[in-house]
Amino acid sequence: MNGNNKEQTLQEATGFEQSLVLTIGQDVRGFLFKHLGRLVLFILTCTSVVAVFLIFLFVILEAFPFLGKFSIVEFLTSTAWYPESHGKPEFGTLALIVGSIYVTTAALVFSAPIGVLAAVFLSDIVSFRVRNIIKPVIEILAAIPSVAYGFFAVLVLAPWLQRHLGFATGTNALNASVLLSIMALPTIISVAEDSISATGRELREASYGLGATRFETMFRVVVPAAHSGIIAAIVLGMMRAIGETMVVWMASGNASQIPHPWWDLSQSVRTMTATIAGEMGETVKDSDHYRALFAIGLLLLVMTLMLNLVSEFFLTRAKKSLGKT
Amino acid sequence: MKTNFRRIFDKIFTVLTGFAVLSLIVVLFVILGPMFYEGLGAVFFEGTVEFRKMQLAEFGHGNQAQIRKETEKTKEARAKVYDMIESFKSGVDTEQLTERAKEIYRNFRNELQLKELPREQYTALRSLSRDVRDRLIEAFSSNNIEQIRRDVEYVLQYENDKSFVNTAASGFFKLARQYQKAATITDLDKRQEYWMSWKIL
Repeated sequence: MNGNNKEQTLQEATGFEQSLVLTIGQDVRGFLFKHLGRLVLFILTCTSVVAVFLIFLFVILEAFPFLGKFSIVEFLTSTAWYPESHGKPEFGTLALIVGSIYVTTAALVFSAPIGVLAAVFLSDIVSFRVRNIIKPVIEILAAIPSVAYGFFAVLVLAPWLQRHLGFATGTNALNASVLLSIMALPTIISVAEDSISATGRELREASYGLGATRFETMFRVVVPAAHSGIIAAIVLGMMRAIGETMVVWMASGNASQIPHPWWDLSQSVRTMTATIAGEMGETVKDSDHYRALFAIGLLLLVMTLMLNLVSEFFLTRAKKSLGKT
Repeated sequence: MKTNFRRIFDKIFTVLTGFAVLSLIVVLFVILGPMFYEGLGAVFFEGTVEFRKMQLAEFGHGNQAQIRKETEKTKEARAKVYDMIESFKSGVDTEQLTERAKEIYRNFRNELQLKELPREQYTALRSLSRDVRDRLIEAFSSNNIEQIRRDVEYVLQYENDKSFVNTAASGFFKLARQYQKAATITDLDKRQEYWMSWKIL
């Protein structure tokens, strides 16, 4: 009687009403669900990888006939982009490549220093409460659609540049660069701030303990320690800028030329992305022009892939070095 | 000395980092500001009778009788505002008031010529109307409220004069009353300033 009572109390306490020993059916079902679950997760993970691979394959297949028919050297070194010219169409993309690199570099010249300074401010200077207010505000910049930035570029910034700086046209490299830098800033700030915050507190304390000022601590200790993460942040910002289409299409003026002199940001340029977006809808399917646009796409894909690899390299290095500290 | 430089660099650095974040927030407002402004304008416009009128005119959407009723109601409401604006304008736009006074005088003179009055009466009425016109113009150009009151009262004493009733000269008195009312509610010293702003608008 006493033993029975004890068993009942144990059952109530543990909530187990069944025996802990599994039946063969339950065991097989558990085995199947476990492996089926893994398989489903594996397929889901592979889907994104396969999708990227298929996109790559599709772009290569579409571009391949062009690369076989025309000289790749001329494609990469000529500035003459006249794809619809009667008689002898020309597919030189140098001006487009330079245009893309030009606006991206100019955007980084604006955004990298501001982004790093803002990241330092958020991680080390401002209080936690204020940081929690400012960071979401900055992240709103990333949430604004690029077409809205484009509208701003065309309707507000372009007339302003023309009126106040006396430029021949307001839609130029400067306009596109400024907008791209604004778009790249949230990425740069977010990744750089994470990287700077992750550096050890003891590094700062040691630096302050040795009598260094905040400026010295930041630029001689913290930023060098987090440099891999900061470089990765800048590369990610660069990727954001180089792949951007709508803003450069609306703001850069779309003139297929290399600015002369090279530092003159008031001149219009055309980027690879804008060329693809602007001309793809007007080309005859399977024509040379159509294939050439895919070749530009492939080139862009290779460039962003390389940038991605660079950022991955630096992020891995950042993780490793921060792991050590 | 070196410590001072280090301190200055430190301060500059701190200010620059804050400035970087501040500039981003400013950029956010600069970008979103025009969008909100334009967007809100569109939202407000959609709520107005003007929008419904446009919809009816362009696409034939909406209830015609209802829109007509709404338009009448809007006109009534707006009339008060337009009257206020007109009243304010009449106290400010002295050039136009002077022109109107001169025009009234010319019309009255033409009337007198057509009436074939005896020479003395014609001369007296013409002289009197010229006097009324000049006093009115003096009132328009004055910034002194006492002076204006005196000039307007001088003009209004002839309001019921038989020679002026039901003639073009009755316009003088209407103008005088209108101006008298406007002058009491307008800061006469800022009249030129108001007029410039009005012109810009």
